[in-house]
Amino acid sequence: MTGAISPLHRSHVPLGLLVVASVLVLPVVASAQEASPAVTTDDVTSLTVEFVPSTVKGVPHYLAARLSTSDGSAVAGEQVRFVRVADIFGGRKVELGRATTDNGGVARVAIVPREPDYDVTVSFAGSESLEPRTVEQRVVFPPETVVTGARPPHGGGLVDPHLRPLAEVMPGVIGSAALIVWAVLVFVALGTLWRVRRDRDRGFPTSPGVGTGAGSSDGDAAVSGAQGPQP
Amino acid sequence: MAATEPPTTGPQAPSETLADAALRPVLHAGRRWWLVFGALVALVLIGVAAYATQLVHGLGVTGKNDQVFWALYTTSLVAFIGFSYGGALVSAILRLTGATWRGSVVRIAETTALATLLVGALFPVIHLGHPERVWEFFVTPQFNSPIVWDLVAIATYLLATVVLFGLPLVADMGTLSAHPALGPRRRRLYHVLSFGWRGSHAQRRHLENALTVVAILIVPLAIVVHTVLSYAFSLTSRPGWHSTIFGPYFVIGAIYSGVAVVVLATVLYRRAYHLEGWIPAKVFRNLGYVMVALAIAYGYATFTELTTEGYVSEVADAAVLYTLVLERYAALFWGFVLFGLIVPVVIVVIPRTRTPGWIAFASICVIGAMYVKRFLITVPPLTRPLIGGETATYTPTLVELGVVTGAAAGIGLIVMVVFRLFPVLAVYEIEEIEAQERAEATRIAPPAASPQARA
Repeated sequence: MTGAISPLHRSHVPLGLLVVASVLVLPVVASAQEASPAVTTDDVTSLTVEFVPSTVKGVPHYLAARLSTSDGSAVAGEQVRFVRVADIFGGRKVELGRATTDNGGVARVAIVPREPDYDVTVSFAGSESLEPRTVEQRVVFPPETVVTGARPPHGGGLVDPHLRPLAEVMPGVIGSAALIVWAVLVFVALGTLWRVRRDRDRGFPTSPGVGTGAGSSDGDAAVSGAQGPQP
Repeated sequence: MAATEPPTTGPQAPSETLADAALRPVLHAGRRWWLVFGALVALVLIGVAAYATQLVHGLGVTGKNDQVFWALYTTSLVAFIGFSYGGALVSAILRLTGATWRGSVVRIAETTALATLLVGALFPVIHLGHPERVWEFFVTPQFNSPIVWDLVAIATYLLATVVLFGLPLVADMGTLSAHPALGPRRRRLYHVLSFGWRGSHAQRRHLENALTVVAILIVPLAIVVHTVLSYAFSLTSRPGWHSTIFGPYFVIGAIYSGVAVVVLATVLYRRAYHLEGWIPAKVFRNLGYVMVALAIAYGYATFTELTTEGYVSEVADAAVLYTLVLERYAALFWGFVLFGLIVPVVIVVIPRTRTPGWIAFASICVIGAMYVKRFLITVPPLTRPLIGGETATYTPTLVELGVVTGAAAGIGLIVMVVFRLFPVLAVYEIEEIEAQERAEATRIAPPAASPQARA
């Protein structure tokens, strides 16, 4: 075996000792980081936003906002709101999501870009010790990340036996079914009205004293009771 | 709903005719009617103002966000169209089965069906944010989308409901157009809408045939509408929605809540206009039995939905399930179980509470609980992120609450206006049933009563 020697082998620290140290020390360091927010001092906040594209299939792209104080220290554990001026809602604002900043002061919301760029407003409402901050920014997405077209990205939807989207045949199916029902309903309604009008002078009224039957005061009595309500 | 002063202060005259009773809301709008009318108009105006706010400032004024994109408006769409379904089905099924107690309730059922459908159908438009985008449904429809299927289904069902409501009215218009208490304008209106109805044998046959066809059509149409409405959820690859039970689940829920709306409207009109002689208590008992059957069926469907999700316990499904029954939405869910499933059944099962008043209370519980259930179907699954991120929250804003309240008030307003124009009782139906019962009684009369036997 003449292959390259790993750095660990070249060092004089035994590998087992390193593993033991990692197991013992790292959780302590991690818990200490989680327990103490990076910044608790009264300070001016700063907010920046950027698009973090994913290169791994199945992992979403993110909009990431970094919240920090004026001296660059990260602000952890604060909620940041992402809002977009969306054309789909007629140029109105729509919320993309809310996220809490991590220990690096970064809050992320997953995003599927549908247009080349979004006008994004990111806001931090402030806290007892930190001032609020709002940033408006146009975020430009790399073209390969933008999802266009009506088909959902996961390829859902109905397809016919030739794998064509059923959108091509659904108008015929839905339209035919609806038209048949509408035609029957209109035919029945208008046809009945026409026949009723046509036959207004044919035959004798067979109504048994229409509209003249008296009601009953007995709540349980049949509707056709011949007696009127009793005092 | 209407709550007007009775036209007379004492008991109704023994000689009161069916026509008199049916026209009572048309002829008499007392002070209380105007008070209720004014209150409902005020609520509708609040709803209009809230909607105007949304139009000006965009959907950002709602509590919706990127994750919870369906909320109170979608809840209301499902709930109100469900209310409509029950009214139409009650009318259609009772007509098809020849239930003799249907006469006093079908007009109110058909009217509530129409009113709730008209208002419910507005919610997709309200949900869109910009109403002019409805046009794009027609010019560039996306036929892969269940929302477009919804549009077609609801339009078809609306047409059927209008026909079911309108055709029997033709006979009533002809019957009542000569009523002496009617003013000249209403008399003219009734005359025009009667299409020359004189109650001849031929006319009755035409009307009966047409009503039978429409009643038959209404049943599958209503099932189609609510199943397609459920597609909007179940065709989505989302835990808590993607379920095969959603079709029948929505249908049963729709009938259940719809029957409750019919009960409530009928009780209010019965009490407000002293129609006890024409709307007997057995109508409420029968509708109460129907409600109990549907409550059990809906409870079982709920149990099945939760069991199938919980038994397999996929991570995402289990998360939604726990949110629903044990965590954040547990109070709403168990409130639904109590007031939507248990209380109504108990009220109807106990003979002492099997009265119109108590059954009306049960129906209020059902209506409220079923609205909450639709909320629980819509919102909790959306709060769980599909592609990472945090659990979302949703709290309805005053704008949304204003729009929904205004819409609900609009239903009451439509019903009140309809019954200021048209009779609250289906005169033609009641007369037909009376005639059938008399014919039956004559046919089964004992031979001893005949002159031949006496001879």
